[in-house]
Amino acid sequence: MSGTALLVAAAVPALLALLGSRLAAGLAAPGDGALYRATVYVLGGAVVLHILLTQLDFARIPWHPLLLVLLGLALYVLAGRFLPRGPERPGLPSDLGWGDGIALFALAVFLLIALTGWITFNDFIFHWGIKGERFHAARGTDYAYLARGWNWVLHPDYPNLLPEIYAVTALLTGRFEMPAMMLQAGAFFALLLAAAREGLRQGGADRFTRQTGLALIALAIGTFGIGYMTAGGADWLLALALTVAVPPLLRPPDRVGDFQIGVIAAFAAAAKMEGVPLAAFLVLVQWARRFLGNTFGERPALGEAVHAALRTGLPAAVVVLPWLGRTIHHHLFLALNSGPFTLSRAPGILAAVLEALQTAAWHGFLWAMFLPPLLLLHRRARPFAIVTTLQLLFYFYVYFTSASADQIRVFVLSNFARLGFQVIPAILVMVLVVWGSGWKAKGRGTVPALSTAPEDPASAQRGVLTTTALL
Amino acid sequence: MLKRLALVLLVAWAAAGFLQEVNQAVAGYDDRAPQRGPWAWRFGTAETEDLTRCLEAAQRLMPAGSTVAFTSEDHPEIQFARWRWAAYLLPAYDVIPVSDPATGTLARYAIAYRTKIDHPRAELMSILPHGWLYRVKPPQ
Repeated sequence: MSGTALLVAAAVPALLALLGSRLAAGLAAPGDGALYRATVYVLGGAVVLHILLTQLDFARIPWHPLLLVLLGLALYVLAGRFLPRGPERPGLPSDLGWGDGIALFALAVFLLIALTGWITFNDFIFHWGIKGERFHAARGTDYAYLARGWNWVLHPDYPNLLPEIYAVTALLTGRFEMPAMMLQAGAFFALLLAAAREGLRQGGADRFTRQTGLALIALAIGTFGIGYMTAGGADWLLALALTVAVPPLLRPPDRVGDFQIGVIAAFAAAAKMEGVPLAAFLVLVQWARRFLGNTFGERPALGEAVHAALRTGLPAAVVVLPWLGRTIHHHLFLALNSGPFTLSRAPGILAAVLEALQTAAWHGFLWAMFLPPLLLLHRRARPFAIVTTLQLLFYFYVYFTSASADQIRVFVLSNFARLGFQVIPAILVMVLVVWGSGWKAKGRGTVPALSTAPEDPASAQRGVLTTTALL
Repeated sequence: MLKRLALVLLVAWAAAGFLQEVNQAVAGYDDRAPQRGPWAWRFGTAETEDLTRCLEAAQRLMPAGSTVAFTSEDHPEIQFARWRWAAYLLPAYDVIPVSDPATGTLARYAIAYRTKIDHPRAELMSILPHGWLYRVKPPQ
C-alpha cells in the first residue's frame, strides 16, 4: 500500500473533524479542551456523513467520491454561513506529562502492529470489512447483498457506520486496502485517549492521577487491542462513544451537554447493535437529569424542556429511524437475535462469565466491568453509572433471550471480553475521577476552574445551582 | 501516598501486560506463526496466503458479479471460517457455501479448496494453486 493512500486514509478523520467543527456552537462547551473538541467534532462529522450517505441511498444516488467531496464542501460552507460560531478556540494542551508520553507510545505500537494486519479482528474479515468492500464496489449500502439468505453471517441488521467509513476511505484512496482500514482503528484509539484525558481533567483529578490514569487506560486498552486482535472491529466505536460521554455526564446538564449527548448517542446507534440501547440509555439519563429537576427542586420551563429533549433525542432518532425502516423493509432482522427469556441459562451464563473474566488479553482488567453498580453510590458518577449499569444489564438480557445463546458457554466466551472492551475505558476514567475525589459525594458539578460560562442570564443568577448535579 | 502507590502498581501491571502482548504479536509476526484455530487466522500466514493465491487465480477466470460456490475439505468450523475468508478475498463475487440450498440454482462457478468436487453438474475449468475451479452447468 502506498504512503499516499495511507495519508488520504489518515485525512478521513481529519475531514470528519472539519465537518463536525461547523457544529461547534452546539458541540463545544467553553471549558472543553482542544483535543476533546476535536474528538467530539469527529463524532459529529461521522454522524453527518452517515446521515448524508443514508439520504443518498434513499435517493438512489451512487456514492461517487467527487460527489461526496463536493457535498462535504457544500455542507461545510453552508454551515459556516448559516450556523452560529462556536466558543473561542482553546489552545493545545500545555500540561503534557509522562502519562501522555506513555499513551502516545502505546498508540504508536498498536498502530504499527495494526497496519501489518497481524491483529486484524476476525469480524473484519467475516463482516465489517466485507461490507465495506461491497459498499465501496456498489457505491452505496448494498441491501440486495445483505438480504441474501446465506449472508445472515454478515449480521445484515447491524447499523452500518463502520462499513461506511471503510467504503468512503476506499473511495477516496481509490481502492479497498486493509492497512488503510486498520489506520482508522488507530484513529479511534487516539480519539478515545483524547476523550479519556478530558474526562480525567473535567472530573477534577489531580495532575498525578491524570497522568497515571491516562497511562493506565492507554496500556490496558492497547494490551487488549493487540492481544485480542481487535483492529478493524466496531467495538472501538462504542468504547469511544462512551468515553466521550464522560465529560457531559460529569457536568451539570446544559445546552451543550444535551447536544453532545445527542451526537454521541447518534454515533453509538450508527455504529453497532449494542450502540442502539446505549444511545437510548444516554438520551434517557440526560432527559432525566433535565426534567426531574435538580436537588433544589428546579425544573425547566416547558419550552426549554422541549428544546432540550430535541437537542438530545433528535440526532439519535435521525439515525435510528431510517436504519429501522430499511432493516424492516429488507427483512434483515435475524430471528437469532431474539427469543424467550430463559432463566434456566443462569448457571451456564455465570460459569461462562467467570471463565471469560480470565481472558488472557485483559490481564485482569475485565473485572472493572462490574464497577458501575458501585459507582451509583457516588453522586457525580451516578449519571454515568446508570447508563453503564443499564448497558451491562442489556448484555445479560441478550444472554438470557438470544436464540444464538443456546450454546451459552460458546456464545458468552465469543463476546464477553469484547463487550467489556466497549465499556472499560470509560469505566476506568470514571473510577479514577471518583478515586481522585476521595470516594465522597463532595464534588457536585464541575470543578471551579472548569466551570462553563452560564448559558443565559437566569442561569447566571442561579449561580451555584448550575453546578449541582441532578442525579 | 497509598493511593499513588496503588496507581503506580496498576500502571506497572498494565505495562507488563502490554509488553507481553506486544512481544507475542511481534514474535508471531516475525515467523508468521500458524495460529490455533480458524478464529485466529491472520493475514500473512500460510493458511490465508495459500487461499489468497488460489482465489487470485480463480478470479482471473470468472466474470465479476458471478455467484460462486465454495467448499473445502475441512472440519465444519474450519470450512465456515475458510468460506468467510474466501468471501472477503472475493468481494466482487457472491460467494456461497456449496451446502447452501441456493447453490443449485444460483451458482455459475464452484471453487474447491484442497479438495475436488465430483458432481454431474460440475465441469472442471482449471486447476488452481491448492484447488480446483469448476463451471456449474445449469439445472436440467
